[in-house]
Amino acid sequence: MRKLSRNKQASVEPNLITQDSCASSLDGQNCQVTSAALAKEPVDEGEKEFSRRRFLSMFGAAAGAAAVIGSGIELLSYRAYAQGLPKTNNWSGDGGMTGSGAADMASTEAPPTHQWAMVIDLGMCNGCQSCPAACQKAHYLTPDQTWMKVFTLTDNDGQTYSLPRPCMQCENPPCLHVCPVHATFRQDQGVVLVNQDRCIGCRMCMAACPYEARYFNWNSNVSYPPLPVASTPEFPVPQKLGTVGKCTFCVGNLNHGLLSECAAGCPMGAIYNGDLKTDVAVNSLGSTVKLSKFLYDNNAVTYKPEQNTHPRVWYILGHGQDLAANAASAS
Amino acid sequence: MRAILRWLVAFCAALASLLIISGTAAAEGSSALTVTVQQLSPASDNLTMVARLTPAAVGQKVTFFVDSQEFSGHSWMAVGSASTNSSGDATYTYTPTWTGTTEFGAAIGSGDSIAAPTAVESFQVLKDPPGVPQSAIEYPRPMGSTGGVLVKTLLGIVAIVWILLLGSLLLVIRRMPRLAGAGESGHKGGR
Amino acid sequence: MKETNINETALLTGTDQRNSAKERWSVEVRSAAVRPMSGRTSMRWRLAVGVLSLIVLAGIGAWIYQLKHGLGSAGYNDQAFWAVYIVDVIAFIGVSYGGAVISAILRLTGQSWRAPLTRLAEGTALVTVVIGALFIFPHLGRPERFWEILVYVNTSSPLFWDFVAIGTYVMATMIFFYLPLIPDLAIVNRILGQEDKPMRYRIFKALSLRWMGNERQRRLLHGVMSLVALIIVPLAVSVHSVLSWAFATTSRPGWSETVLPPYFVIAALYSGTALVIVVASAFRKGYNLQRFITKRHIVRLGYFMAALGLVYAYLTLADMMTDGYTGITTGWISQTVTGRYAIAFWFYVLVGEVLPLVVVAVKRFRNIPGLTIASLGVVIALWVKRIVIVLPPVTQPLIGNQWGSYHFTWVSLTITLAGVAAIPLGLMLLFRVVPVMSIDEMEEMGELGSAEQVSEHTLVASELLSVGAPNGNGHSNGHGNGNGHGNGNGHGNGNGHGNGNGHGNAARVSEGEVQ
Repeated sequence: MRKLSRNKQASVEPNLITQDSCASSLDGQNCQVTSAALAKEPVDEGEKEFSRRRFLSMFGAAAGAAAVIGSGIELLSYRAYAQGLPKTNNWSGDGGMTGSGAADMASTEAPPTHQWAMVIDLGMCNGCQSCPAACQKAHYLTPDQTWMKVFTLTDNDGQTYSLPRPCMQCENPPCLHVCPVHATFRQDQGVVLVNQDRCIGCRMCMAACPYEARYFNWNSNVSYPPLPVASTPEFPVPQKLGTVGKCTFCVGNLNHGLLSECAAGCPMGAIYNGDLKTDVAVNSLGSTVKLSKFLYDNNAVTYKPEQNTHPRVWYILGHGQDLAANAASAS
Repeated sequence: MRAILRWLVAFCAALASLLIISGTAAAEGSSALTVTVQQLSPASDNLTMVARLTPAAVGQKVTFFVDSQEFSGHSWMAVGSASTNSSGDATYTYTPTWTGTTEFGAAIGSGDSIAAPTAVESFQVLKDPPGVPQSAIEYPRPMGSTGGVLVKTLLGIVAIVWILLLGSLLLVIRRMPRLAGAGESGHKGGR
Repeated sequence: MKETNINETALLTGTDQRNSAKERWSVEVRSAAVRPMSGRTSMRWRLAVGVLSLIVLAGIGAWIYQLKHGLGSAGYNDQAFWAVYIVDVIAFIGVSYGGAVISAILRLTGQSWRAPLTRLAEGTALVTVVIGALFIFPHLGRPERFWEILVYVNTSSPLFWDFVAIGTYVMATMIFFYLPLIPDLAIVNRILGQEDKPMRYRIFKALSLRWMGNERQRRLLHGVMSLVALIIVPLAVSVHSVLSWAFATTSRPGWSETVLPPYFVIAALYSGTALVIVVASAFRKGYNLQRFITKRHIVRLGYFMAALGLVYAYLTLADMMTDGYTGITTGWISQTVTGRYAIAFWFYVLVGEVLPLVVVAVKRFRNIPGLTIASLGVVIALWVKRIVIVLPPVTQPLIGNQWGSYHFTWVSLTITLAGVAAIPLGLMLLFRVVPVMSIDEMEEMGELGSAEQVSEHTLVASELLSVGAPNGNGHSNGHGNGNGHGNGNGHGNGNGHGNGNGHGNAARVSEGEVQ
């Protein structure tokens, strides 16, 4: 039976819940899936891959040395890894999460019941900047760190419109592929997160992201109030100097039945938090829509589809503006 | 309070072990709307929601709702609409996306103004819901199909370079002192 | 420059007493190469080392400041997330490739005039590659976690392959520096003896691997060195290509270009050749090597540099032409050519392309001072050019049209200057420890390398392009000079024939073959 994450803390003030949600991420079911997997190393999987192909015997001594170097290396085994997952009836995989804990998790933990997504209705957005403000307040971000950023763009016909841009939580995230130390990972609910205890601060992910959605912690002069819990990838507060941070989709909120900070803070109800699994999307005005139908009926688009990133954020165009136009007109 | 009520309903449903439960809803004006939910077969992913309008009227638009329990719970989600036939039945096939006891509903009319159902029916969904396609979960890495071979080849090349470099250094270190003696004797022999 | 305490007889130990021209040459070479290593250093030398060390220390201090206050103190921000340090990494590792490849190519093609330059080129390669690799640390936000690249390996990350490539290249450069040093270590020990510095004597004795200079040892060393030189050329090409793919594999306009790998490789060779010219003429003057490194050497390197400069100009045009013509992603081009990076770009065009070409083309400027100034200009302009390659695509907006900007701060400038100062410092310290010229090769090649009267024009064409047999006039069995066993050696002065005959390479190669 599906146990819906019925919220016990609905009456508590949102800000406190954000922190609380991460406090309970240590014992809460969904969060624990993530944190348990975080501790796992990618080593075993790569080794399995090597021995399976009997690579040693094929290439002889030189390749043997390569295998010595390569043993313990997770090769380009995204797909191979998926094939090695325990066969389950439903879709619930280990996401893009790099970890060998899938089998352990399957036995002890319920499969993830959500695949988070977002829909932004540009027709409803009036560019009031409430969403970045709510996001920055909740995550104690500096004014530069606009994890949710509202761009004012000019359409082909000269009209301006606002484009709120969270992290797109790509299903094929370029930032994940280029991270040299697996500090960026995609957890089992499809949210791309950064392990700030692992990040070496090379900023390759910032170069790879086509949406400029990643923000670095450049300066040490950021002060945080005393916080009850340690920083986690789901709620990276306080952030660590010299590491990269990004929109987390407020996945802690979502797992506790709350809207993300940006969606909750939107007075227009332009931002919908959605779940591809249950096919539901909800905005701050309480409007609940069938996600797939909503996207289909409104001809929703993803941003920069040509980048082959497969975002989990969809846009509903207000007046049929061309999202591609503004990207090209940058000069 | 609501939750307890809902669990009670679920318990009753399980007790009766019925696949089909019908309920009635408040009449709206002169006509009454009844909604029925059926699972066509245990193997099927789909549910059939039937809304019966009494007295029967043809061509009435009926909007169907599902009670979404996502994000702080209870809210009605319009999932689709259908028109009534000659016997007053509007049929809509719905694919549930979660298991457990869920309320289904229907209301006459269509469009954004219809926000909540007038007839409600509770039903326990047992079938595992269909998933998000695996492709959405797992994407191949860049050059995913050839990449494994590529990586091994590249690492092999790197290994060969290292072996050649370190091997030649080792060769020099090991051979050179020995050749010193050999060269000396050779020279002496030549004299 | 330095007080010398080498006596003539020590220099002559073991050389063939009968070959007087050869013997004189040998004495000159040995005294010039060994002089900086022995005795007390001059006041000027100590002053230079002191000042350079202070600059390097200031850079280290600035880096500690940056570690404490974050990369923001170096002028970085979210729209300029890669800037000066990655430029330094590319520029320093780039000049290193130049030094290594020049030395390797000249070795492989058997260019005898290389003899006084190889040690300088290899030393420059060694020093700059170490500095360039170290610049990765200020570039990282969390340098103390660098080890994680080896532990949490992600083979789909370009940076992992950067790490593999640079690591391989650093090791190859060290081996490539060490192997030709083996004979010299033995020679130095023989000349300076134990008394001067007993510690050095012991270390050199161990490292020289009982080098006697006999035929079989020579054959072994030359064989291995040819192999390493053969490896180092494709290695250098691949390493800078991999470095460029850290940029080219992103989707940013201006970086995501197919031309980027050769673009980086040529830039590396171009700036590297220029730096070798600068280093050669600086050490020529500072270490009194005028007798050995002549105008002819510098001019030849100048021609080589000019050719690379033309290729680089061509690639720069090719890089901009496609994007500029289609007009799909022109933001970075207009900003480069006419916008905020225009000054830097046109500085590169003038100082990095026009100036060296003019200097090489006009006979009046084609001398050591002219080429040195032009080369220094190329080195600086190519650093600036790397800024122009890195910054416009970084600061360009991918959404909207708000350009980012990068401003140099005292932190980033101090650290960069420290890297620049570390080059002469490293070289001066290095050549306090090892001979500044390859004594063994100089003796082997004879005085040919400095024959001024040889026509430059014909020689350059024939020697740069000829892929003659490696060591064409090299280690044929007569060349036992420099060891203690040259006495019974009847045709020991094969090089002597070439002395001043002016027939160029072909003649000498055939001589080597006859022998």
